[in-house]
Amino acid sequence: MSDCKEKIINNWFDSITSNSLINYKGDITSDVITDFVSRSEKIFESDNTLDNFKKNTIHIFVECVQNLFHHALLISEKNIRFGAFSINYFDNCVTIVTGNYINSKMKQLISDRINQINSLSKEELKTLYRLILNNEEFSEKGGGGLGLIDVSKRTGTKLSYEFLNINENIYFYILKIKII
Amino acid sequence: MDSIIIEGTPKTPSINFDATSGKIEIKGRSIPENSIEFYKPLVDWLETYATAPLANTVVNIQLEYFNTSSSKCILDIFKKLENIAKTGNAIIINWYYEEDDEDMLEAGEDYQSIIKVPFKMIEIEE
Repeated sequence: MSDCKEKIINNWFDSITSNSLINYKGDITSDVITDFVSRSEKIFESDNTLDNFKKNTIHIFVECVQNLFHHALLISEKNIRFGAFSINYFDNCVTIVTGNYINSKMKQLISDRINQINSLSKEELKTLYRLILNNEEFSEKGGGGLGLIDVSKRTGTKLSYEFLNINENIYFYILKIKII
Repeated sequence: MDSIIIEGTPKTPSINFDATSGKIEIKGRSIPENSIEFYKPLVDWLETYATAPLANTVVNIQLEYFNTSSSKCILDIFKKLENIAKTGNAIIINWYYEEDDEDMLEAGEDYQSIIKVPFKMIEIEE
């Protein structure tokens, strides 16, 4: 990964974390997830306004960071599974933003998946969730294929995403979730 | 048949599967990265229990959080219980949810729609 591309990611990270409640970038390990879930809970419990968002935010946050854990591309030269995330509170809503490197072949799969989810009504999401819950399939990485559907079902808002082009084979995938 | 008793952790629920009393409990939070690894011994235990179950089995599920990979494993648990019910033994699943936690109630209803075992939705105070 060139210095120039790292600078793009650093600038993006600075732009999303200037007013964040909690943020991190680096290797996404099981211990990092445990630590940040605990820290996020404490932040949300310590503030009456945020406390109303706590349950939904923590649930969605767990799904998001575990998606990074399972799907972020391994950066071989550093031997880390690089991911970044931030939780923000602004204008009466919580946003969770995540970013991770992906292969170019994943780009189309992710955008198709999110566009499909965004096109569904609340009832349709519920039906799809139950269908996949009962399909007895696990991905090779242990995921159930339910994560983004569950997130969308809980927020009631559309998922937004973008891809930063790193090189012809690698993209940086950014997912933004708004909880109202 | 030995019971399974597991203490809860920040990512895994406390477990009490007791073949002597026919009481099966999962409580706390279930957000491990590898849900299959955690739940496989529980599913295996139920398969053995199903060979000589008690006439009445009570299942208490009281979860604060669970991730979507756990949700599939919990369904596997319920499917084993459904098999026991099919052999004429009584199973009741008590699904606890905190007041105002509509998502947890809905999660219970999702299972109720799939599994042919009586569910009792029980609201508890936060």
